[in-house]
Amino acid sequence: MSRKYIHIILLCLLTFILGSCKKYLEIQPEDKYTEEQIFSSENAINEVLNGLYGSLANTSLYGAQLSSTTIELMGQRYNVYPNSSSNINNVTYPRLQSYSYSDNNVQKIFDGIWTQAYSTIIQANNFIRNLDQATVNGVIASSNASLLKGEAIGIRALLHFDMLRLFGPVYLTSATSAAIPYYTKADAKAQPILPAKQALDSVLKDLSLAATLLANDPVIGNGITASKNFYNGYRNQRLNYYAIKALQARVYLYGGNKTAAYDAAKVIIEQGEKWFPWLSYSSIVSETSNPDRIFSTEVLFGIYNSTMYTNYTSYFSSDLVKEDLLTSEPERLISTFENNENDYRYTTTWLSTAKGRTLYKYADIEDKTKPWRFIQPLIRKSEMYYILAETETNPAAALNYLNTVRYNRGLTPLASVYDINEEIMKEYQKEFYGEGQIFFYYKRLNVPYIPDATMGYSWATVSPVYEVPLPLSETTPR
Amino acid sequence: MKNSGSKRIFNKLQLTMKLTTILLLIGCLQVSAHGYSQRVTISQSNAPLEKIFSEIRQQTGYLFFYNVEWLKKSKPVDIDVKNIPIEEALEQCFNNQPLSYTIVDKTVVLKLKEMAPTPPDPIFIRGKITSKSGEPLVGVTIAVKGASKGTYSDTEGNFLIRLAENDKILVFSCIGMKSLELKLRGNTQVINIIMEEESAKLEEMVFTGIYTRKKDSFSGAATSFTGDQLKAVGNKNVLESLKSLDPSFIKVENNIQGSNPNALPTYEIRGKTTISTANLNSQFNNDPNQPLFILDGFESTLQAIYDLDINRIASITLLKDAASTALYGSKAANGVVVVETKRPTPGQLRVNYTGDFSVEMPDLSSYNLMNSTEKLQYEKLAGLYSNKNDLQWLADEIYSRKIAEIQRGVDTYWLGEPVRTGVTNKHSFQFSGGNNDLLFNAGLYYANQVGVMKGSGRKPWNANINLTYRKGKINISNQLSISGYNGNESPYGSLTEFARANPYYRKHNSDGTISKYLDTANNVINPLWNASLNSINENKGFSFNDNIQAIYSISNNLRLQGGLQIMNQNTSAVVFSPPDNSAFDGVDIHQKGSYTNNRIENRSYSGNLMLTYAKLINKHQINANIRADIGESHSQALGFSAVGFPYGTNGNPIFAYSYTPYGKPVASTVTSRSTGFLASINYSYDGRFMLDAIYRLDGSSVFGSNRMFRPFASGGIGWNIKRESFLKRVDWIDMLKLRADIGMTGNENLGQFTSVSTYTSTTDMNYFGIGGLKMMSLGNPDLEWQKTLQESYGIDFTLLASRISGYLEYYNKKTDPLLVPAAGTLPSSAGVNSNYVMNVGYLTTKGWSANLRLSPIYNLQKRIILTFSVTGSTYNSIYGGLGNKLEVYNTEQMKSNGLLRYKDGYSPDDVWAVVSRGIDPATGREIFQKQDGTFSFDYDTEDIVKVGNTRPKAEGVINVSFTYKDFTIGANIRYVIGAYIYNSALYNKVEQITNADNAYNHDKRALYERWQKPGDIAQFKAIGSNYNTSAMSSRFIQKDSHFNGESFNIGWRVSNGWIERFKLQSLNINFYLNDIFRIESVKSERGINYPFSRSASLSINASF
Repeated sequence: MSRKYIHIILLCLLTFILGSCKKYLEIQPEDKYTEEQIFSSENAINEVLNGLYGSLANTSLYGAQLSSTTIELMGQRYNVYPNSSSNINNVTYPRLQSYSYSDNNVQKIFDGIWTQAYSTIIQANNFIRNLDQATVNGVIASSNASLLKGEAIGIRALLHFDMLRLFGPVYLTSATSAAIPYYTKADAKAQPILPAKQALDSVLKDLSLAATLLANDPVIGNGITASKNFYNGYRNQRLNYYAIKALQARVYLYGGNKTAAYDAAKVIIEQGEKWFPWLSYSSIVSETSNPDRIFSTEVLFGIYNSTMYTNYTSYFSSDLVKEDLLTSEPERLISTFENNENDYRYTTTWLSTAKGRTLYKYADIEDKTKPWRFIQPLIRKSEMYYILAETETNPAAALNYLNTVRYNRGLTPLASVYDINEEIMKEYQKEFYGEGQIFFYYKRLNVPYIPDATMGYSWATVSPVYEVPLPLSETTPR
Repeated sequence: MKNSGSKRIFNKLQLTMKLTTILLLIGCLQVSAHGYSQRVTISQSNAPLEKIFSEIRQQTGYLFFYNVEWLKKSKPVDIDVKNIPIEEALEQCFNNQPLSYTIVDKTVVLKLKEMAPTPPDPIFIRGKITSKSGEPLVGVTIAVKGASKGTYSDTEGNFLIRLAENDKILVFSCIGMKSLELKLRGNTQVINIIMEEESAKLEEMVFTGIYTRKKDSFSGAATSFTGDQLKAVGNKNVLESLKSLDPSFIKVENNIQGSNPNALPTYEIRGKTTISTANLNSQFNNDPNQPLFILDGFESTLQAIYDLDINRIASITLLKDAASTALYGSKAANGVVVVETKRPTPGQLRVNYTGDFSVEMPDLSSYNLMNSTEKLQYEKLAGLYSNKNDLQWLADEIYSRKIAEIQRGVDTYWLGEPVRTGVTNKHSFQFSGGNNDLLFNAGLYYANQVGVMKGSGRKPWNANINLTYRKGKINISNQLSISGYNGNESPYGSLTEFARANPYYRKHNSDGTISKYLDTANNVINPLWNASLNSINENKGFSFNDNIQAIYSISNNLRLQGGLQIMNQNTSAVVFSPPDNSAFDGVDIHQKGSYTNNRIENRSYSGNLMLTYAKLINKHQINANIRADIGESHSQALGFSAVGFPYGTNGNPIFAYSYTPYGKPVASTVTSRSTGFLASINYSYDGRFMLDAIYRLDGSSVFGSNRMFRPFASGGIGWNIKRESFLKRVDWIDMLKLRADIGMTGNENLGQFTSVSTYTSTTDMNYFGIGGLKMMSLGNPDLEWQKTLQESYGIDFTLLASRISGYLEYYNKKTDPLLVPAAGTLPSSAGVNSNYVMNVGYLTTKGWSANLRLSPIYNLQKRIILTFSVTGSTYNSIYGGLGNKLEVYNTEQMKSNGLLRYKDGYSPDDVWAVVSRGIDPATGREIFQKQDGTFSFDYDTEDIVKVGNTRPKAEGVINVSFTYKDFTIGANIRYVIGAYIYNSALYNKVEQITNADNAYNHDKRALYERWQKPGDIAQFKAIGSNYNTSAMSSRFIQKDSHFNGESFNIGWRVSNGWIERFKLQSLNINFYLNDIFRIESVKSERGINYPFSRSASLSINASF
């Protein structure tokens, strides 16, 4: 064979190999999915959003730390015993209650909350970017896409807002102090730490965007349906339109904009109340095997928390030794509920055990098929009534809002009050046990002294340190 | 000596070669074919001698050299013999002839009995030149030495040359073949020459695993060692020997695992190229500084080379600089180790057996533990028995109980319990043979390595068969290898447990049984207890490997070759802890006992196609290659664990109560593919100037979609000064070469990071489905791959007739950018985890390595050689461009008393601590030096400065070897000078003994060398003081220099004489001592979980 031919053949061969090898090198990993794979299927897109809700239910976020444990300890809810050493969480209980933010273990907890929150945010941002692209590509109908996008933006706003509430300054006094960074892009680029005011505005901007996207939310026409359809079932376990409005009300109030808070809360009561009825007496007090202790019908937004009952056994169960148990000082409980054994929230939720009254809110029920069995309440209707009461300029109307809630909790209405805000605070203390709102309530109002958890006397107070320093993992590389 | 006749026809140069090489060459240079019997059966009457000769040649392959004229004077022969040795047959034939004969290596050379008158000139010499495979060689230059005449061989390989009377030496030369000088004797007229391919002389060649270059014409820094050289250092394993031979191949001492045969060592070539600390690289697949291993042209693993039979090695080449490593482009940043195994050689069936027997003894000399009296005294001083107030009576009672035991003579040396003397044996059989067309070699290998900790060992085995078929222009070879291993870890667990046990406890009960607790009151576990249970900790491997290679010689200058490899490897690891193990104390009964089983299966294939062009045009010699390769590797891992076993089970998971609660199966599947294109050229002009250039385009699925292909290139130049006219007459210089090169390589050991985001399923559940999809890592489309730019400069020299030789190399590597996980470099709010990698900073490494050999006695004829040699290397790495991006890691290090820092201008090997000025004799407190130079009693992290560098100032091996006739004696001593080490024994076992640590045994210095009263000048604080201080100061960082007796050997080789009676061709007996002594300046504990060992071994090699 002539040498020339060989050269030509070889050259052709090489060109052929070069041409086909780009394809050869493009392989799909087998133990994970690539973005392209996922965002070419509507079902997979749904699962990504579902994964975001799953992240919210992580113990570092609303699964425990931001609902029933850490944040409640900071709100002086539980009487804890120092020098406990059975597990690392419990070592930190007293240090959380004494706001020892420089403690190594305490720092680890806040670092966990922060990292988990922002890692969920970047996932939401990446979801939003890819969802837009998938909508353009026709993978998903734009009506469905706008629902999903609205929820994802809602998740982003919710997390940023809670990071602002936790790590930001006391807004009332220091709205211009540095607070948190705000991320709207998934590009692994650090964003500047914004002043609290700007961060709050970003939250509000996102919330109004979410509200627009969720304008056709099925919850508006159909309410909560026990359907597993991804777009219209169990809307109370998703950031639905009313949840977004409620969040708006909460954020406006935190920012001191009472009018806007009132307007947002009003929307829910006027338009959506029918879908979120008050819990009936029969579902809670007279129901013995499956009492609805989380008042599920009134929950505007809650997440499916699959660790709820393992959390119960590790934090609240009366089987635990006293050092590990999160429960309230009996006297404190009596004074919080103002000696009122009729209060649905007291009689059904704080049951007498060998270790005194312990929190049963998150104890399992007999019927494992109840659709609300795993709901971790994050926003409830009663808060809207409290917001209305706080922002209503007419004192009689304000009291009426408060009395509505009292009525539905088995309490007698208040005829008149000396200071309605005092009564609202009492209500917050009763209503949100184990739900992570009380610390933020105190912080919003910059309450200088709050009831001390370790002593039952009503006059015993502590002075909270409201601003949690940003974790070192955040500040050191800056 | 039978071979002496033919030896004389070689020129002087060949005489100077080592005996091994001579033997090799003899195998190649035989003037005829082989593989026939040495006995003949002839029945002829009145036959001319010529006819007898052809009969004998047919039967035995023996050739006859004679002058045709002489035969005219010979007489016809009558002969009738059956199966008698050829010598006897010849004796009969030459009985009455006017001729005599001598047998020279299968050639019968005839002589006239009376001096024949020298025929007058002209003399013609003709003959045929063939390669070893019998292929005729075309275009071979045949020249007369000292004269200007010459000729070429024709297309059939035939030549004819006319000689003058005083033409004595013919020179045969051809590209790709080794030049040959032939001294003419007598009246030889027909000479058939077999020329040997150049690669046969291993020391002069550079095997890159892709192609072979002559060392003379290669500009890169590559060093080659033959199997024999490696074997001369030791018989442990290939890599152990290699580290003694090349200064830039460094074994990173594993102080934790010591001499554990199951712990794979870590090796580095020319220092690190990447950030390597536990917290940064834990996610990476491999050691990111590990060199690339190439076995017979295909990528291999450290494990495979570690278990390789040393007797199979033909050569090992280290590719260190860019000029040679760029051949492997994206994988070669850490250097390349190219291993070639022995290929079949033609000839009769040869059997070679090697038996290695070694005795390993644990080296516990670095431990300096207290005996029972000392320990109790220490405890008393530490205040364990005083000031107990109400409980003083109890403390007193415990103390008296211990003292009673001591007085009874209890002083247990716990360290001696888990160790033993390990006797290892290895057996290796090598077979080779075949005719010119079909050659084969095969090997069987089995080793039983017995570790110095009881119950630990490793049994690697291998069976391989290589076939080579060659006919005309085609050469096909296939290498099949099946291998496996079975490793067991010691049931005694970690040596640490034994080092901690107190000497005042008895190891057995009086009836000889082992109790679970040494001290039931305090639940002190007897370390022998867990060892006495039937635990399992074993790993097994099995692999199948087949390489096939075909070479087609298109013409003398052009060659096409291709190769294909398929590989399948399975490994499994089983760990079983029985329920009675003390680790399960206090564990729920359903979870006592645990079993884990992990399996990994790797499958891979790779193939390549290469075109080689080689040509000599006047003084221009060109070698060029283009090559394409392709490969896929697929690895799958699956594992599970189970808990809850009844007492007395054998560890079969069938007896488990359940899977580990909430445990998930471990599974992963990774597929990666790569392609590469390579063009390389090697040009040399007149043997004086040489140039190497390599361009490689690497495509890999690892790179992600945006940057699938990456180019790598290198260039090198060399100047052989000796060949210049001005040095030609300088006799004392044999060789002097300068070389320089530069090039870029990459590193794929860092793991897979894609440019696209990846998702995984989660196990969380809700009403909308089980799980969701969760982002595992965010894609980074802009990620720059870690590249290493390396410059190297070197000088090679040989002086005074090879009495002095050596090289000196300088290199400068810059890895830019580094890859660092974003977690830690970005604020955590950026939301990316450690799967997201960023480009941060760079790392430069500059270093020297040198080798000098000196032979004051150098007599090759008599084989008396005395050689001293010294190798040495040193390097320094420096970070740059980090800014404060890695501050998080620095803070972490500071908090955990870590010694490392990531700072610009400092080395990854620097250690950081507060400078200590010792213990104040007056107060017993430690004096720290502050940043401004003032002294203080207060420890302040602000005062942490760089206090030393763990990298030695110089490290290398001093070698002495002496050869006398058939005996060789050698010694290799490693020296390490000026490395700073953190002496953890001082920190943990002398001074920072916490209250809880008092329960363990400690270093003697904790008792004797501590400050006691004002005025004492001591290195350590008082006993019992400052339990809570954890100040890391320079007191615990010590400058270490040591000498290690790495290898001593005595060898004896016999290749003729009495052994022939035993049908042996050669017999080698070697005796080695490895790591037998260590002289060091710092007393620190070595071998924390597994002791180091000293070994003595015997190796017997017999060839049949």
